[in-house]
Amino acid sequence: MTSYEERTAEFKARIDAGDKIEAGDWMPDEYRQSALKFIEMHANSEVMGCLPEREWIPRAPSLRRKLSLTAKVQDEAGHGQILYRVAEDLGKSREQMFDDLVNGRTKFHNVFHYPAETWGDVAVIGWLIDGAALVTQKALLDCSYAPYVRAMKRICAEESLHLRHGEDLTLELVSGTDEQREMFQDAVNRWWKPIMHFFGPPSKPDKDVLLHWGIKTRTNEDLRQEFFSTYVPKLWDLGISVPDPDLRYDEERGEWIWSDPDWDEFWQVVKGNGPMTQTRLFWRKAIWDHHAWVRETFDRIPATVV
Amino acid sequence: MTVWDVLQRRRAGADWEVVGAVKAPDADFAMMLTRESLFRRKEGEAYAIRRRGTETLIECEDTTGLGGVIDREFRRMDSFAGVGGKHRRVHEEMRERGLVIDRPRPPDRRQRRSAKQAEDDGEAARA
Repeated sequence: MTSYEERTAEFKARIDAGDKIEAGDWMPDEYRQSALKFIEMHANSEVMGCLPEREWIPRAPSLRRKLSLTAKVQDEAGHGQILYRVAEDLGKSREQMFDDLVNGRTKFHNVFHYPAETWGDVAVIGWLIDGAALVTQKALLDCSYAPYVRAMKRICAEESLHLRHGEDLTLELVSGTDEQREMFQDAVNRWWKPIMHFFGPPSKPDKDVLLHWGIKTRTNEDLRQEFFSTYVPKLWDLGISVPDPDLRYDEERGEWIWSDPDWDEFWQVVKGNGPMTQTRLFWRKAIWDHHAWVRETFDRIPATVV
Repeated sequence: MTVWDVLQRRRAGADWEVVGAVKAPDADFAMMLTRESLFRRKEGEAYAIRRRGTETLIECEDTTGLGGVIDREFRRMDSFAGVGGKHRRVHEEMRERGLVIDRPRPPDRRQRRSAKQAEDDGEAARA
């Protein structure tokens, strides 16, 4: 009889060989728990990420912008639905995940704990935050859990569209009046630290359980460097500065040098003490409670046999 | 509630492939949820659902609605066609106004790719 340790070693060997794990496959508890926690947080972030942009739908400056922002918010909610379904197969019900989210027992991404003060923030969220998300999400296309990879294929395709939407908004602002340029620059200045936090602190690869199991495939720092290389030159090309006096590309080392942001603030925010955490959770809970009748109606429909 | 696996056929004659799953009380709801959550943008040529643990495929009979009334121009990539060109134009405008920030930066992806290609070609020639 094969011991748990032997099965775990065989499982790890499969991952190291590039095999993909399906929901019905045997998996060690540590893998299941790590994958569930990671995907659940991703799903939470998608549905919480709807809220800052949703606030701007009624205030969008034109009908076209209103339609395109509405479609983006709908996509983000859809990503949440797809990801909760993937997470459910790892052993936790959608209802429990939502209950944990709205009651502050689970986390969502740091950037969605901040206010979206101006239309410039909508451009920053659409271009730079979705850009940061796309850098991290593309790295997940090669992750070890097959259902997550399938979900990410769809999500990345839609995020690419959102990126265009965000870049289009940005170009309109930076090529507009001085006030519009200032509005965008001000938004970049306020969002830069949360974007640096978005990638997380530099991690030690040998101590990162998500890297160990192939759920994540690249380190936080590797992803942050890719973000710098992709977006900082584009910002500079538009005459937009970045509020980090130490940020520079070291040609000899072939990497970006940057100042460490305040990681205490990051930990405070992800623990639920961000400037908008309670307001956003209040809204999410109110919507969840208001729509309880839909879930109750569905629960009363008898399942059919096919 | 029942879990339904969702399958897609990318083009006529291609094999079915699993692209996700939905949870719904019956096949009608599952079909509707599938269309709204996974096929809003006319992805693929056809789709089907299969109650998890069974073999019977239920194909979507009418795909004309796929990417139809809900597939507006602002949902598609082509609605933002030309953003790259617009970026270059705005960049030129900023250069003329003296606003561009000119600092060392990594070679762009195309340059990195062609440098890598030249390296590979060199190695191949040496071999």
